[in-house]
Amino acid sequence: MDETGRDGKADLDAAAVARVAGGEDAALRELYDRYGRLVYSFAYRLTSDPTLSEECVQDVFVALWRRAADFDPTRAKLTTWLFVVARNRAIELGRQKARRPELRDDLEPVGSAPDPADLVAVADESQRVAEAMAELPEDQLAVLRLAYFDGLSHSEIAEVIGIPLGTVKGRVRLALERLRSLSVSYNLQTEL
Amino acid sequence: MTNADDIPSAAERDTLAGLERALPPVSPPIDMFDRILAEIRPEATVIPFRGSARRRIAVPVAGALAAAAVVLIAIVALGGNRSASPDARAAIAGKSDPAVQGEARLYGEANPGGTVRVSLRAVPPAPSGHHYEVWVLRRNAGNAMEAVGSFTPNSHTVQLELPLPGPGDYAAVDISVEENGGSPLHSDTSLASGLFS
Repeated sequence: MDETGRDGKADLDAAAVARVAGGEDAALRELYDRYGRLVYSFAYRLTSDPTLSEECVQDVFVALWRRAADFDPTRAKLTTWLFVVARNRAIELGRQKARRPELRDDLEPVGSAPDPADLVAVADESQRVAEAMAELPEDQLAVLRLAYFDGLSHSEIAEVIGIPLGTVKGRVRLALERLRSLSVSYNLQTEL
Repeated sequence: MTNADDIPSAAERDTLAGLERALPPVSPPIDMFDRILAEIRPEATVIPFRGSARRRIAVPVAGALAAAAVVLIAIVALGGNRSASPDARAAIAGKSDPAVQGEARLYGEANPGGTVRVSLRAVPPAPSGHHYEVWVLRRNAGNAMEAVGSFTPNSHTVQLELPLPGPGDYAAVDISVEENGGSPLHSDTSLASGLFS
């Protein structure tokens, strides 16, 4: 990894972004599959609203599609870019929701708007965790996505991915250990 | 992560608990990427009805007459300020096809240049020789629905932004199935509809 934090995964992301810039929506799908759940969860943490979280994810990946040509992988990692865009959009959507609570009957009651300072602190913390998780090697992130976000058992993951059960367990364990160590380097208040 | 064959160690449980505090274990809907694709790629061949091209016709909301429309090719790019708050929203439910779901949002309905944005999921291909048409109904306008545009979907997910007929207080949106080249009146076959609130 060099001083910009580039490693094999960052190169993989940068190559996919270059393909997105060339109009290849399969590349956007690849990046969505890799980070879409993380961005959604991050947005949900900030908005507590599934509809707004969906809107946030949609806006983030549409922005990636439209601005891919401007992305400079030597200046920032894609994951940092994704979560900064998601953070700004989620906070904006959350504020809009607080101003229009009466428009949707099917939304949960809004209650009082969150304190902006609290929201920024939550956003800071969640962004660091999300970036730490995004930094996991792809094989570990893949099993953790299925286990954590999709709630699949290790046996189900083994079947879905087509790898031995022991390999799944090993990857989950490595992912959690690495996440725990990354939490130190990311100086997380949340104990991982 | 808590199935019988997945019993985590104490350290792993701690890590997962911390993870849950920062990133809730929630997933986007399975059609999420389809919606993204719908926004970056025009998913439907759309004909917005503007100015003199608009057909203002009085038909019973539930009534039916054969429909007609000249199928032109036009693309409506989603534009405007997506971050603006809508004036009203309508949950769209399928009628002739119960699987269809979606939402319509009104923007600037009280002003000239207002638009209705329609997002639909699980849209079936239009029947052979037919297309879909979007209608709006103003409050206190009886059954006088007004057509705002027509489209032929290229995928199961459709997002449209169409100009409203003019300033007004809109009560409902309807998506009808219309015969190509038929009458300009509502066919009485409604694919889906919703009420603004």
